[in-house]
Amino acid sequence: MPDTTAETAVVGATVNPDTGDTAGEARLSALMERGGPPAAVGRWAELVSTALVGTDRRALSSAQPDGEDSQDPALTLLSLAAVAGLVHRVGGPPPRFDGALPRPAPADPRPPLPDPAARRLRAILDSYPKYLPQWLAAVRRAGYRLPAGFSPALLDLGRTNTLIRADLAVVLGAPGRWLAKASGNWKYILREARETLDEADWQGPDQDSRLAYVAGLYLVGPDAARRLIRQAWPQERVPVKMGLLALMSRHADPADLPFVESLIKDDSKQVRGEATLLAGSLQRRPGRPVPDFTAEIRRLLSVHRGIGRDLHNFVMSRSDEDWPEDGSVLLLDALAAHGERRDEPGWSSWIAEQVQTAVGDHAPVSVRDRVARLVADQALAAAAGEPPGADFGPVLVLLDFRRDMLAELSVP
Amino acid sequence: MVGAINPAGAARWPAERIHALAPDPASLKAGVKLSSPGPWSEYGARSEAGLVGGACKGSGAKPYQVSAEFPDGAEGQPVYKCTCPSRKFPCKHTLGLLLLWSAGAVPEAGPDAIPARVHEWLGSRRERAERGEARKAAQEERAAAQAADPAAAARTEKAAERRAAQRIDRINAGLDDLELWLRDQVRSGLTGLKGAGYRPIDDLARRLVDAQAPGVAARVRALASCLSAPDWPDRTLAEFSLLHLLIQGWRHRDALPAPLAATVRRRVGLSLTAAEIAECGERVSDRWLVLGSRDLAADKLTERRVWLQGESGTRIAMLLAFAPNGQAPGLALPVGATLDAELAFAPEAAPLRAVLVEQRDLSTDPGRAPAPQGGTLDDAASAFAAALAADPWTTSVPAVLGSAVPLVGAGPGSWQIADAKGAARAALVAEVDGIEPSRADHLRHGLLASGGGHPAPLFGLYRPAGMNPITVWGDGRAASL
Repeated sequence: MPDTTAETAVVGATVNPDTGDTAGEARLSALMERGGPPAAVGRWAELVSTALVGTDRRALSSAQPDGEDSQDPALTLLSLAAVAGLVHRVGGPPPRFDGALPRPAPADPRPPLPDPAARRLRAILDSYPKYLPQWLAAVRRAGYRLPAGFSPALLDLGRTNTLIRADLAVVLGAPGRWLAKASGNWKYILREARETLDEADWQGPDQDSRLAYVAGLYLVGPDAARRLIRQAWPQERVPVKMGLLALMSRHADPADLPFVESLIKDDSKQVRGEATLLAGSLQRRPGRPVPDFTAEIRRLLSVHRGIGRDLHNFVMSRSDEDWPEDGSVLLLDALAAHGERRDEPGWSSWIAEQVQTAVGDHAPVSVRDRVARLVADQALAAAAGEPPGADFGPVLVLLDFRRDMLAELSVP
Repeated sequence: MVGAINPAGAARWPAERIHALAPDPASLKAGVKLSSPGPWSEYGARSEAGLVGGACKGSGAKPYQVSAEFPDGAEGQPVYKCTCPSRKFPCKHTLGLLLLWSAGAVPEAGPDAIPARVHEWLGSRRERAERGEARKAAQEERAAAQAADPAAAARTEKAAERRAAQRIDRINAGLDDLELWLRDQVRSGLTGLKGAGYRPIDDLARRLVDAQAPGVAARVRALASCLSAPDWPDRTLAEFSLLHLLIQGWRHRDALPAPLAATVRRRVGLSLTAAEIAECGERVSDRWLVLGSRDLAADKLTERRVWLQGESGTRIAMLLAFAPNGQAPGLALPVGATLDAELAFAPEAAPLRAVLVEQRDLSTDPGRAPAPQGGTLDDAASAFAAALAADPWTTSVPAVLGSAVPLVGAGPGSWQIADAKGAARAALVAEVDGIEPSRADHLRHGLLASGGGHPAPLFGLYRPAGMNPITVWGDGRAASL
């Protein structure tokens, strides 16, 4: 390593004795000429301790420049430190690395995400996070691999957004699981269903892989998953039991209630607590099936009092799913018809805006042309001097965004 | 809607270049939101004429009118105008329109479709440009007249000399004060300074700003962080000795070799202007790979550093651009792109800073970014030693490692970078000046994710304490960290 060359070069370059720097003006130069560097190099610790207490209280032990009486000891110390410190700053050669390289990420055979879709993901992460679940589901269906640089941000989002975890795990695939081992915050992805269901995962010793197998089993055959849980339960250790309880809670089924209640007497306090919570939520769960979306919209619209808050509440309760086209069209027509009636009680413009946004977010993109017509009609009506109705422009923006987003991911 | 008139055409910019125009991430975010056709009306482009324009619906009743023009063709910087009241420049509407245009979603419009306001804007812009040129011509005329009249020329020259001499006097006085202060601290002991808080350091830094030595003032201000470090006695004395060396270098600058004198002048705060560098710097023509880019936000200015590597060698150049906070520094060079250009290097002891003299072509393909030519960690350490030998105030050097692998550590501070080619390792230094600490995690995880744990080319800033990664190449992409 070039320690000594660097140091002598600095000394030579900084104050070059040959360039006519004479008459003792350059104290540093004078110092150098006396062969300062080699003497100063080993003295760093001494210089620091002297500087700490001050040269007024402690004199520098040796190598005091004689001759120039004007030289202040403090400045001499700084000159010496400039030389001695250099050796510290230039450092040595980097330490050797002779260990084995860590295992790299496994290869991902899927085709890479097209560039427009990669830009779209950037836009979604920055400006439209609400469309991430839809986008991930579409990528999963299309079978692309993402540019790896996105993985940390997505894994961070999955920490708090449990809704995207199942799709995220498949989209990130094996490289994602490899990456997740680097941060304690990303371990959850190891317990999500894998791309293929492999019984070896369940038979193996790794707890995360075993839970991932059960998660995958739930997706293909919930009953088989439930049977497996009941059968395996007595032999399992607490961390696995906690993971299984989390899966049962995600795929909540009132039929699980007797089994979950039997777990309230489990040996582990942790498991007892979790089982009690799950049993409570299963008991509270309404037995009646979720109403059909379109039928319920029609019912709420036909009941006059239903326009407004009830409709809004229902629409918001269904904001984690894709809506059918006929129900969405009913909503659009109602919004177009009622938009002008601002004075009607219960139909505030705020509620109208909320419902509009929900249509933009969840309606199938096939209603886009209908919305475009509404926008055009409104422009004509406004030109004719009619009072302005509900503005569908923002809905069109959302639908356009989602239409383009899905079009970029459709496999040719 | 938009109009023509401009002979210089502009091929559509890739989105990455437009991203690089954004003054800050928030503006870009907002711009991306506006990059769908929904909020736009009367929009159109005349790409061959280098014009894009449209009306964007905002919160008010009247839509904002946005126009962008590429007066120097696709390789030049665009100029823009928006009627919105934002003080960001370019504003989100302009970014939205340009992104829309970049995606090919802005229809081509005929010259008859240009609204009057675009004509007006173009007209007034051209008028201003002409006025500016007329002013320049008048100045040149004056200069020529002065050259013809030796007395007047001597007078102006004298005035300039007087101003320069005044500044030198101020710097001299400021550095005398600094030397006195340093001497007093070392005489009475650094422990006293540690107990005195930031006040004396702040006062001294202000004194040096008044003395027109901003480089020294910044170093003095950085003493505060030296004093709060765990190994503060070593770091403070090291910084003291460098200040002392700088004072000595300044006083004897006439005796120093010219490049080192230029380095001392810059470290004190007398940098060469871009025009001076272009005039006297070493010219290098090459195809340059954009290695990486960092924005540093200071008090009132954002500084953008862009590093380039010449294709025909391994020489690295650093371009600088400044902008007031809220505006984008002018260098819109996406990482991974290749730039065919002539640069001029500032004539310094360790030449690194360069200015663009002539930019010929910029090609970018985010999916197939060419990898840079990389060395080993030992090469980086040698480069650092050489830079330090030439310029003792060097803190780090830009370096490309040919095959780097991040080594995951148990804690945030224990990550390392292994050099698979040179069988060496260095700490992964994640702190970035002026950026929040959570960025450090992003940096480490981004490096691991984008490189995939494979030996990959890595660009960063090397110093003996470790390597600060900036860009990693993997899967055909250049990933900015």
